[in-house]
Order: sequence, then structure tokens, then C-alpha cells
Amino acid sequence: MIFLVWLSVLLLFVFLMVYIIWSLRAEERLALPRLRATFFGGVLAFTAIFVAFTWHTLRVMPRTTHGDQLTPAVRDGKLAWQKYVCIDCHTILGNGAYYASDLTRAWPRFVDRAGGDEAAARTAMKTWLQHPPGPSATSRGMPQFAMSGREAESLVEFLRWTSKIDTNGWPPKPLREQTATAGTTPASPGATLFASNGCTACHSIGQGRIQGPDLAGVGRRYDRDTIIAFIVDPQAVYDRKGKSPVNEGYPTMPSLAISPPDAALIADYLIGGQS
Amino acid sequence: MNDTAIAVPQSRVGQHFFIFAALIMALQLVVGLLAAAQFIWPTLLFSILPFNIVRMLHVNTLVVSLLAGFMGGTYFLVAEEGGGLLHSERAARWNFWLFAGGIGAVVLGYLAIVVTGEWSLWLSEGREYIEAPRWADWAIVAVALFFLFNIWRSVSKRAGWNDITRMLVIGLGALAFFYLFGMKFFANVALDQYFWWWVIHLWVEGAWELIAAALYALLLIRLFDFPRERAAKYVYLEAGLVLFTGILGIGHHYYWIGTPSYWLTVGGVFSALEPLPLLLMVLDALRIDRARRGIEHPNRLARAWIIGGVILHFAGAGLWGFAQTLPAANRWSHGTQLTAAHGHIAFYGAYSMLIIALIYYALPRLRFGGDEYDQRRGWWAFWLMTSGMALMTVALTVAGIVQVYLERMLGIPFAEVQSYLGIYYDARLVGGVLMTLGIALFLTDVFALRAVRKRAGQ
Repeated sequence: MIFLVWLSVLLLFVFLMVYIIWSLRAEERLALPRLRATFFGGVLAFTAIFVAFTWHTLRVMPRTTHGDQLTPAVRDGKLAWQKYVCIDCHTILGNGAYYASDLTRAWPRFVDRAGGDEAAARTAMKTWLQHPPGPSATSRGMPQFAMSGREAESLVEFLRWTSKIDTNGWPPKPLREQTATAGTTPASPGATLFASNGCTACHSIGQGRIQGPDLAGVGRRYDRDTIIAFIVDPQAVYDRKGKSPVNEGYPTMPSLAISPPDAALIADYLIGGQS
Repeated sequence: MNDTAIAVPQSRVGQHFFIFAALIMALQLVVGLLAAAQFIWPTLLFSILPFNIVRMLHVNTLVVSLLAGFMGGTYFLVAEEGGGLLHSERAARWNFWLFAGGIGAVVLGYLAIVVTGEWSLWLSEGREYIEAPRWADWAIVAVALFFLFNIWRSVSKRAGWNDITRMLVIGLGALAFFYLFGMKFFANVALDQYFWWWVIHLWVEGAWELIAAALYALLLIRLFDFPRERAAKYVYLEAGLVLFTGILGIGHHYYWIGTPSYWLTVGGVFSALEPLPLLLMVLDALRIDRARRGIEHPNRLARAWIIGGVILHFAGAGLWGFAQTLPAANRWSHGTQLTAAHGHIAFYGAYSMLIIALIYYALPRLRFGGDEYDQRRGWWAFWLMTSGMALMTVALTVAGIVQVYLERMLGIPFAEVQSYLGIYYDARLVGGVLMTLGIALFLTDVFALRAVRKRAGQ
């Protein structure tokens, strides 16, 4: 079947070439009835081949998109994706509004930052969706959609499923990798909290900026209490300093409702990790 | 003189659509300006009008202004073709108020999201360009069918079926038909995009091109005294080339969305030829313009919008489209500001300029019963809008190239790359300001076109 379609495409291409050469002739030598017949005949032929290709494509797509893994959660995620009009900032499969990042490969990015831990990546992504960073004077932010936990989870499932679509190799691998691959996850409680609270979605330690600044050496810039205060309630720190965000060129940090004891563990991890 | 041959129509309904189209176009510019500003000042009005709402309004007003323009142009020209009258002026008026009311309801829905802060699929479907929710989809289909019915009757009873009117109605029918493919919900985002392109691509590189070809032909007959039979030939030639390259050219949207890899070949080969009809159109238009220079139609401004439109259509859809249509290039450029650059100039050149040409052709006839009017404001609008668009396109193109290099080639994260593109977004905003000034002048003309007193001896 597909061979026949290809053959027809070849024939149509030859037809198109002949048509182009024909159409370049002096206009007086083109008879209107023949032009009319060629138009309607040609449209019919091209439409037929397009329908044939569509038929084949629709048969193949369940495989290239892993249709069997499209769970109800993915479906709910797709509905949430539409409900919050995500596509009018982001792009997905490269189509959308170009104001915010492409989300085709958002899932592997989160997994990378969580050191390969899928459960941590899930939490991080969910946290991000429920507490996205707001805009600052110099950096774009995401609206607080106040989405429910269920919606955020289904969106994670949707993006995870989307990332597995066979896109014929798009987006291409960068010619030079800028960000080093994530190291192994240290087993300290602070490191685990750092990943599971979604911090890794915005911050790396020594691997460059993401949405937020690189936290390498943060222990030399701030004392432990400031770091803890900042993790617990960033807005309070912004208010106290009269500066939002603290670092120019970044969005504001969302409040993630992290308890002071957890924040202390994370702070210890950040300070201790700066050997 | 040719314009004596075509009587000024008694039908007034075209004017309703033209005013509506112009108002929506102005709204498109205003929200576009805000969107451009939010690229530079991300907190600007962010808590009231987040970028996705602004952008949704921007692309929806684009589509609606063009639809209103097509409808107005069709009513006006079909009336002229039919000796001045539609089959039913009353039905056409109903058509207008239903259309305007439906669009108003959809916009109110969007604003309800803004006011209440509650997002809902009943208010916006969240699919680019066709965000209108399901209930509105059905209303739009009903209005479209009503419109087609009216035009069908007017052509059958008055204007008569000929090659040009037939092509016009085929295009309008195809426009309504392909909208249907945007109404189904797909849980599979790849399938969603597959059929979403049936609306978007088969509109702008299919149905709309047929409508435009027919409208261009009718304007050529009027403004350039072009013989009808030759105009009909051009319509078939252009429409043929556009569809023979464009139908399978849809493959250039099927490279990376989970579709089989043969689309890279099919899409690449056929879409690479898509600029050809647009180039022929430029050459033909310039030839006709030169050959017909002796025929002094008083409405030189409408002629300029036509010639300018044809040229920017080729530049935007042809050149900027070709620059990223081959898979080897698109692999890098897909999903970057290069696409935005292409989209802006192509829509403006191919369709917005045609609609404005139609309006400048029709308005003096509707207001003063002839083709004489004061064109000075219109010329300012022409140059302000066109140079604004040119600046915007160049700015976004450079931004796109830098983005491709830094993000795609070097792998620097999106947000960081965007922070280096500020200067290009500044330049784009300047282009947007120029365009807005232009549209303000145009809108002034739409409401208060100035008459010019006939000189003695004319």
C-alpha cells in the first residue's frame, strides 16, 4: 500500500513539474477550459494521496507515540494542559507561543536534575506546577494557576508520556553540551529534601544557572540563618531586603511551605556541599 | 474608464463587516503591543493579564479580523457583481449581527477568566488559534453555514456562477469544512497537532489562498481594468500551483510531532515549491501594474495595498517560509523566534494587507458613491504599518538566529538564552509601535474618510 502511495507521489511530482513548465508559457496559449480541468483534476489527485498518507500515518502513530501507555491520567493531564492555556506561552513538539520553554523534553530534564530519581522528579515537577516562580523585573515568570494536586500530577503524567513520543530526533542534540550531566545523588537527608521539594527544578549546584542561580558557594555568600529563612519564606526576605528577587536577572522564588527543620537540613546540605 | 462599468452597490452590509474587521485589527495591535512589552517588562500587568491570555487574544483577533474581512469583501464584491444587490440584504445583516455577537460572547468568556481568575474549558479550549470553546465552535459553524447559504443564493440569483465566483465559494466552503477538524478532543497531543494543522495549514496555505486569489482577481478587474477571462486564468493558475504544492506541503508540519519519517521527504519536496506561485504572483502583479499604468484609476492607494500585499506575501510566506521549510533547516529552527518572524510577516502580507486593500476600495464607494477620496492619511498608514512590520520581522529573525545558535546548537537553557535577546525584543516593540500608529490612522479613515472635492474640468 505505502509503495503505491510513494509511486503516486512520484507521479504527482512529475505532474507538478509539467504543470509548472506549462504555466510559465505565454498566457494566451493557455486555454481556460484546460486550466479549469487541470485544477479540479489535480486537486482531486493530491487530496486522494493526502488521504492515503493520513490513513497510513494514523495506523502508525499509536506505535510512534506509545498509544498503549496513554493512561486516563495522561488524558486528564492533556485536559489540564488545555484548561490553563499552556500553549499560549510554552511550546510542545515545537508548536506554541515561544514565550516560555519547550516542554517536549521537560520530563527528562527534571529526571536529570533529580539525579535520575523518577520519584523525586515527579515531586519536583508537581511542586513547580503548584508553586511556579513569578516574574521579576528582568525575568519571565509563570502565573499562579492554583491548580489542584490531582491536576498537577496528571500534568506530570501528560508531560512524561509526551516526552516518549518518537519525534524523528527533534530537538536535535546540541553540538556542545553546556550543562554537565548530573552527578550521583548523595544520600544525605538534606540532599533528598533538596530534590524532593522541587529545588532542583530551578537550581543546580555547580552546573550553572537554570531558572534560579547556581547555588555553588552559597554558604560563603550568606550565613546559615539567612539561608534557612529564605527557604522557609522567600517573600519575607524580599520584604526585609526591599529587593525582589535578591539576584537580578532571575524570577522570584516561590514559597514552597518547607518547614524550618527541613529547611535547616537543606541549608546544611548546601553549606556542607561546598567543599 | 472601467469603474463606470461597475456600479456602486446599494448593499450596505459589507460596511458593517469592514468596520468590525478594522476594530478587531486595532484590538489585535493593542494586545500585540502589550505582549511585546511583556517580553521586555515581564511584570507589566502580569497579575491581571498574564501572557497566555494576551497572546490568545492576539492570535484570535488575527483570525477574526481576517474572517470578518473575507466576509465583508465577499458580500461587497458579490453585490457589485450582481448589479448592486444581494439576494437578501436582511439575511446578510442577520449574518453580521450573529457573527459579531458570537465573537463578542467568546471574548467576554476570555475576559471572565481574567476577572474571576477561574480557568475553564468552557471559556477557552486552550488550543492555539482556535481557543474558542466547544459551544462557540458550533455557533461559528452555524454562522458560517448561514453565510455560505446567503452567498450561494446571491451568486445563483444575481451575480451568476463563473470561474471567479465559483473559486470564491469553493474557498469559503473549504474554510468552513476544515474548521470541523479543530473541534475534536484528542488525548494524544501528537494526533491533536496532526489534525490541528488541517485547520491551520489547510486554511492559510489552502482555503484562504483560494479566497484571496478570487478577491485579488475581482480587485484586479476593478482597479487595473484587467480583462475578466485573463483574470479567471490567473485564478486557476495560482490556485492550482498553491494547492498542488500546499496540500502535501502540509508535511512540513509533520516532521517532528510523532509522525512517520516519510513526511520529511514529502513535506520537504512539496513545501519547497510553495514559494513558486507567490513569486509568479509578484512578477504578474508588477507586470500588470506597469502595463496598466496608463489606466489611471483614481484609487491609487488601494492599488498600493494590493501590490504591497503581493510583495510581502512572497517575502513572508515565500522567502521566510522557504528559509525553514527544508527538514535540515527546520530541525534547528523549529519552535524558535524564526517561526514567529515568518508568521508575522506572512499573515500581514498575505491576508491583512488584502483586507485593508478591500476596505480602501470599498469605503469611498460606500461613503461617496465613487472612487475619489482624500488618500493622504491612508498613505501614511501604509508606510507606517509596512515599515513597522519590516522592522519587527528583521528583529525577530535575528533573535531567532541567535536563539537557534545558543539554545539549539550550544545547548544553553531557554531562560538564559532569552535574557540575551532583549535588544531584539526592544526593536520588535518599536516596530509594533509604528504599526499601531499606522492602524490608528487606518481606523480613523474607516470611521471618517475624508472626501476630496473634484477639481474643475474633471
